[in-house]
Amino acid sequence: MAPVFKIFLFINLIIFNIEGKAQYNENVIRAAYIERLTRFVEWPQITSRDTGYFKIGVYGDAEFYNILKIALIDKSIKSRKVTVIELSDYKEIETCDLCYLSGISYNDIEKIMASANKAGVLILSAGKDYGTKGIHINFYIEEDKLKFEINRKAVSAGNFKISSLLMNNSKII
Amino acid sequence: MKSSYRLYLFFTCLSLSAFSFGQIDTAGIKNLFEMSFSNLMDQKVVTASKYAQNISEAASSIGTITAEEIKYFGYKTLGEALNGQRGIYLSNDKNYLQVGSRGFSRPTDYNNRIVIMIDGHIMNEVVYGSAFMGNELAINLENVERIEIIRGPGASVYGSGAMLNIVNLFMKKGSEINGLSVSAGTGSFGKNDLSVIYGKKIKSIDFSISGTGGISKGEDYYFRELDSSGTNNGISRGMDWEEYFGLQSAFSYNNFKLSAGFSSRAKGIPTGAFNADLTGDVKTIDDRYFVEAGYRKEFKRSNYLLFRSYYDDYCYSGSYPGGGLNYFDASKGRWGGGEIQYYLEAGEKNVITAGIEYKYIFRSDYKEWDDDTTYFDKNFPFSSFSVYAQDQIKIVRNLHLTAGLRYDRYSIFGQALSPRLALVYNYSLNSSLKLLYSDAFRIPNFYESFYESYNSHVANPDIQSEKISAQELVWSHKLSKSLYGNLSIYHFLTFDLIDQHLHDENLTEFHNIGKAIGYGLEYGFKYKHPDNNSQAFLNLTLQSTLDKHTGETLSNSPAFMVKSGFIFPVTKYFYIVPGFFFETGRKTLAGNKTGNLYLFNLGINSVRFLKHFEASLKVRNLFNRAYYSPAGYEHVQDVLIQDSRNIYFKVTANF
Repeated sequence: MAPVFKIFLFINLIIFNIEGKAQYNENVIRAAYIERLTRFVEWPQITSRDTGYFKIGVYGDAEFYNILKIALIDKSIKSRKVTVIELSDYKEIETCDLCYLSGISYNDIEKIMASANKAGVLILSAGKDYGTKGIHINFYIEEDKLKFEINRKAVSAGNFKISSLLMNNSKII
Repeated sequence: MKSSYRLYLFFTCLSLSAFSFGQIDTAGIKNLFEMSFSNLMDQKVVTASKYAQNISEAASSIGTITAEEIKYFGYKTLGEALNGQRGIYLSNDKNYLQVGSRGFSRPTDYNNRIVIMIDGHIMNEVVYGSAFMGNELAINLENVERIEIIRGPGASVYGSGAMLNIVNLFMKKGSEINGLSVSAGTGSFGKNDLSVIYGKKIKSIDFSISGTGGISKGEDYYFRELDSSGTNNGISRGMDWEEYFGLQSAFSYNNFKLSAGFSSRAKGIPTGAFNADLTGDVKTIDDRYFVEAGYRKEFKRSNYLLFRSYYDDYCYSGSYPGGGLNYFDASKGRWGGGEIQYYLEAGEKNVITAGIEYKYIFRSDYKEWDDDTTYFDKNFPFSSFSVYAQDQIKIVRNLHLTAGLRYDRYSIFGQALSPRLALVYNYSLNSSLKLLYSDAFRIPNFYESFYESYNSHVANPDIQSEKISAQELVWSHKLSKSLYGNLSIYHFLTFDLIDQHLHDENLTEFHNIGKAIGYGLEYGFKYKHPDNNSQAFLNLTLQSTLDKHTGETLSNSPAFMVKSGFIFPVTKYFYIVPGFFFETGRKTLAGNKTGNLYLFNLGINSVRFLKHFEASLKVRNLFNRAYYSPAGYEHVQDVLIQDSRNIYFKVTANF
């Protein structure tokens, strides 16, 4: 084999392994954020809620579901053991305490938020203009950093109480 | 193919897949959970999802080239950036860079079957319909946020000329640039260039400006076919020079946007094209500018009107001294127009886009003369009116049907109806199956319709538009967290193809004579490591494009292509960026065949040092292999040699 091909094989097989400067994957940071955000949110009292587990639902993003599941193994939120489930339909959100929704239609947001507010489910997402449309907490990227916006009206409609520390570090809409 | 190349491809695929399949990347998550809230907010992220979402959701076969790829692969021209894409290949006639797509590249068509846009503004000029791919576009690619390549006919949206590809360059916004960047480069064959970008967002005003300029002495050549005492013994020395300069700017305030661009390029012609000498002042000059204003009136988030108006100018001149006489030609194109587009999300099931466009070409001329005589000097102004509509219908949650229709009416070239249908099934978040059908057309350009030259060429004012009808099956799939795959199987038929033929014994004429059929298979991988900046692409193309009458493969049409590129971080200071391109030989106009192409490039990019600086070194054609592409009718040569090994070094300062 000519030396040139040996060089290319070497490059292909070896250098793919070399670690560069670590920048965190967006999903990994988002997973850490979710755990952290819950510390600053007070949920409304819902009598029918399963108090044994803090249930987080993920809809429309299997990859994030897998990351979140691993990230929150053995973690507790609000003194409850965390369980992460993958939702096949966003109508299933009512059984959760917190849901992360992805790939939902802009036109469906109003309907989803009405049932989420009724059931006391905090809704998080990462869609363009989703915050404006009524999602409680919406992630976005600015200058390569993951940030979040809080829809004050939607949060009030769901009877959630959010600490001023979190409010001060977010974009309020 | 040699066994070593097969082995190389095998290991490339293996290495890509080995590091990607089945991974759930949670790198660094423990650290993140231990961080303070303020530290967590300060972490930088890598977004890997944008590419996949784009290609899987769109009702077209789309490829993208990101700003990061432009930077690391060191693309200097649009043509070079496109050359890594599946189905695309280049020919350099040493004056203009010609892009072939899906096995289709007619000799000297000046890319008039491809539409190029900058932020949605069509850059093809109106005299020849040509699209600039080389330094004649004079665009600073460092200021491009991404390049989108829509494969296949797109006339239902963009009108005439969108036969093979639509290429849209999205420029960076001022907020994304947020400062000043200056680059200076130097390289082989006397190449020196300078690029500047400045952008800022102040309250609601977003402003950006970028410029680039360069000079090059070019290569010296020996052409065996021109080896006689009357043609400098086939030696072309100092004739391949180039000078170019370009500026782009954009200003936006809320929903109002104003953008403008200017480019100027002068290029020596070293090949004796059009019987010109291999010495003296043989050159072309292309100047182009445009200004566009747009305003978006939003009624609701899901309901708006877009108003757009523009003015464009194109100016060409050529000097072809030959055999003791000085021949010249020149063209001017000037046009303006306006468009109103309505966008409506109607209920939960329909997204409707509809619009009207009017364009008036008040100058479209051509002049040909020598020291004594003017042979041709005519202006043919014309206008066009277009109306279009498209509806994206949600059949069920993950199944969409897109139906579009555009009607174009030209004052002197007749009318055309261009339909489009696309059925898109998103079977998972980032994976989809698409079934696409579209028709497109190209009106004959001024030169093909009206040009005549005493004793050599006759006009054909009755010439009709050429047409294409295409079907495609696209499977976009996310193989793992970091690896995307895209498979396309396509078929197209072009008819009434405009080609030059002999009108009688001595006179040539453009006529609707051609019919070509093309089918092929394209497979592309794109890999991006989620944590470090390792990236790779591997594009494979198998294509057959035949003359429908003779059943023979068209000229300038390679049957198989491999395009690959890799970005590897080595140590924390450098990236190594190798690239490998393979193409089977192409048939020439004389019926011969060029040899297979094996091209290796190698780049080294630094990370930022001394806070503000970055440096890169790129060697194109690393092993200095001689390779050729078929020459057009204007050349005596059957093939033209392509660029030999050249080295380019660049330093960038960011403030």
